[in-house]
Amino acid sequence: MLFNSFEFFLFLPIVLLVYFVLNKQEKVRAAKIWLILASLFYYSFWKVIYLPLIISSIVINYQVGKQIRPNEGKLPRKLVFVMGLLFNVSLLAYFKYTDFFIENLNLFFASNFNLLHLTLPLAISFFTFQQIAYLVDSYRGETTEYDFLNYTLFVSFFPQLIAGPIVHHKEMMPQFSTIKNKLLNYSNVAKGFFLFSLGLFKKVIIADTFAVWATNGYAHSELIAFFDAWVTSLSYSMQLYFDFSGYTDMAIGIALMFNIVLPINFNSPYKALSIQDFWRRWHITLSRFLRDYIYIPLGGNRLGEWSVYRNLLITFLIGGIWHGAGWTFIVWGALHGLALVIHRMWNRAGMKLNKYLAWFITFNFVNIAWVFFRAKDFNNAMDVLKGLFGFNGIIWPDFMRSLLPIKGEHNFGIWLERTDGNFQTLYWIVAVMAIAFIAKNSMELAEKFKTNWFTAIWTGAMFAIVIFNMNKISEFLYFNF
Amino acid sequence: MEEKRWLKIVFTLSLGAVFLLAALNYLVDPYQVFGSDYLKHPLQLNKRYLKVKHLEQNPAQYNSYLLGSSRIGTTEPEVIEQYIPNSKFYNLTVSLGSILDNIMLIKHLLRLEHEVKNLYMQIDVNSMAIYKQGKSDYQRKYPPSLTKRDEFEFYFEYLTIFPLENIKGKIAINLNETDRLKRPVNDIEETGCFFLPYQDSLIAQDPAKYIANEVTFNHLAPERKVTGVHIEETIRALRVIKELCDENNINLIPFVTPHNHNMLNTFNSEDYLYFLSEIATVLPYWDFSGYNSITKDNRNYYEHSHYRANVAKLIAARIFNDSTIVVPEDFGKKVDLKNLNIHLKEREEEIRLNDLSY
Repeated sequence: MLFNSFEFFLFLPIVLLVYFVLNKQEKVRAAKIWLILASLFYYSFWKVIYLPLIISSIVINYQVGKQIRPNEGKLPRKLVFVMGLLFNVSLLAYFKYTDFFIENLNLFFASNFNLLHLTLPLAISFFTFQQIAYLVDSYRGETTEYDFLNYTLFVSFFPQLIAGPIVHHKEMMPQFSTIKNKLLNYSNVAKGFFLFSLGLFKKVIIADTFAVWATNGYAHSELIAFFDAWVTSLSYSMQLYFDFSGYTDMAIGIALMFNIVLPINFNSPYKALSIQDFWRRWHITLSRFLRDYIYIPLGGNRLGEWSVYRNLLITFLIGGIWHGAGWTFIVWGALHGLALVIHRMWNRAGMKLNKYLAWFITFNFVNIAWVFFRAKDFNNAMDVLKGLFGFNGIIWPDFMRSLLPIKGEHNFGIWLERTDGNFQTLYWIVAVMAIAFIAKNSMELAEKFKTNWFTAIWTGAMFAIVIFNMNKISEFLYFNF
Repeated sequence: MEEKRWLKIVFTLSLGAVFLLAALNYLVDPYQVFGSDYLKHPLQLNKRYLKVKHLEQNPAQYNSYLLGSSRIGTTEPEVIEQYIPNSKFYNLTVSLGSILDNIMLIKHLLRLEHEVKNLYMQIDVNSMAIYKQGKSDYQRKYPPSLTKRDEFEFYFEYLTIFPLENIKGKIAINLNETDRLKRPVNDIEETGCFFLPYQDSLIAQDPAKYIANEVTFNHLAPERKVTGVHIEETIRALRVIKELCDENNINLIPFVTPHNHNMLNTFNSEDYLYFLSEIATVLPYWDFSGYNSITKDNRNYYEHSHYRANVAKLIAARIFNDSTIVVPEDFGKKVDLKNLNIHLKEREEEIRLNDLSY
């Protein structure tokens, strides 16, 4: 069930209503169970066959967590801890990376093993990381005895289950226990709905518009020319940001309606003035996880400069492969790791850049690195990169023949043919990039949010526009027959 | 403003939007699925939906069917009925119809236990490039009775789309009689055909002027971009159709469309010939495609895609060997595995002689 679906618009008010009615009747435990059941229903709406998987993962991790707390369990702590970690990593590895492993085995050793074509269980990357963090903290003695219901809710809470933010038990558990959170808070519902509508608008109207051009560009990338390549890459950069941050806004908004505050996940990342700044603004909860559970355990910046570089590279290689089972994701991660290393060297050398130049370099690096993230393979990525740097030539629109001092039939043609774009595409790119680079982001808007006529009409209008665009249609008026 | 009041205003606006959209779709009915009839004249029709519903409601009215894309839409049933005694044909032409559509329709008819004696089936050359309709193509969705989809979900979807151009277009058509007269006339209830009386009158008045003004007859530099990306699935589907017909004693009469030469110029030649050869591995068929005296004469077409009723008569006359109608020698040939190689060589030679020449 997606947030941008009519069935979700029916699901959410029902869950909210029953939850707060039960709490008002002081049936706190029942309300929690209701929320857990609703979350599991939400998860299984996709494929009920994977429900046992998430339930097993929750039960096993909870038990392991109990056993490995200092002075708690009867079994050897370290052994159980390692088994617990292996369980989570193996689960993720099996579903997400088996075919990648087999493909490379076949490639490098000329073997002929069949791919398993396993369906990736929804949200496995998220609930696995969440619970790994819980196990590590349990082992370190940084967790207290958690109620099983609270723990289950922490993992399965539907607003953040599918696409994050990756929540930390320390920030969630107290909220599930706090009594005042059990009372319906109209202020939170209002702000939550505002954020939800904003997120919906970002996803359905902005991200899905760019998705068309990005998808076309990547699908027809062979010999893609200059303008098409830039429209392709910028469209994807905008699509990804507005899709992901839009989904996060919706998650944060929905959770707020339940009086739960989820951590911020985006803070205008395309305004970043350095790659380090970018990773403090993009998928913040993932960066937090990578820092606390990969980078710091590797030694962080405590073991000398070359260790720092090594640790950065390893952390971002893991970050890359977490995103997807493919060499292009690894390259993407490696590029970011390398950029962070260079940034650190630059800083240590005491060099400074003009802030506009710094922004320009940062954004373009991120935009170009996204090409590896999005491309289906290296050839696809190289096609687009060649186009970006002009190796496939520049095609100007036909109507500019008389205006430009350029000869050659091949330099003019149907402009943006590959992406199926037109001049409207440019307006979209300029307008949306202006929002990304200059405007206040959702969290800043939410901070200043007030319930007045302006925000009422704005929220209602955003929601109405989304309703009118929820079901995508292809209209072919030429086909009259 | 108090939060409760704010929420009431916002929810009213939001729910209002949903109801407005649903009301608009129901009242305007841009794809004719609700049958609301407030605007009597259609712009676009979901023919798959309407024709399947018509057949479900009239189980005994027909015993034979014409199948294919809109190109067979100008073939009136009586043209075929005269050659097959006791046959009652319905033209099941659907927009952008592919071989997959043909399978779905045949299976549905058999499931409904309708009598199916004859299938007069057109195979477009560009079937090699089209197989399945997109999920967001609301003009071409089948009714839930065929797809086994939930009915509520189906109609709810049609209530909550926003086909702005179709809505505007349908309102305009209903307000403007002049524009209406230029539109196709669809006969869903009787023959299943469509007619283009306005275009017919223009052609009758001055065919040369009509041809000169029709953009698709005047390509400057067509490229052979249509490739056989779906040859495999299409041929597999054709085999399924042949098996279904053999199992159910259905007289299957397949033929390849006489595509206008302008359209033929857009097909990848290698894939086109390969497609023709693959069809022959499934069953013998009539091939009306290629550069011949009919396909090279634009007077036989409304535009580069749809042939006129006279061509439909010539196709039938050739297939059923009607000596009372003069059919050009080079129009239509029965193809099977025995004469396939010769046939393909002839097609190849034709392409060589006619490629991109006008």
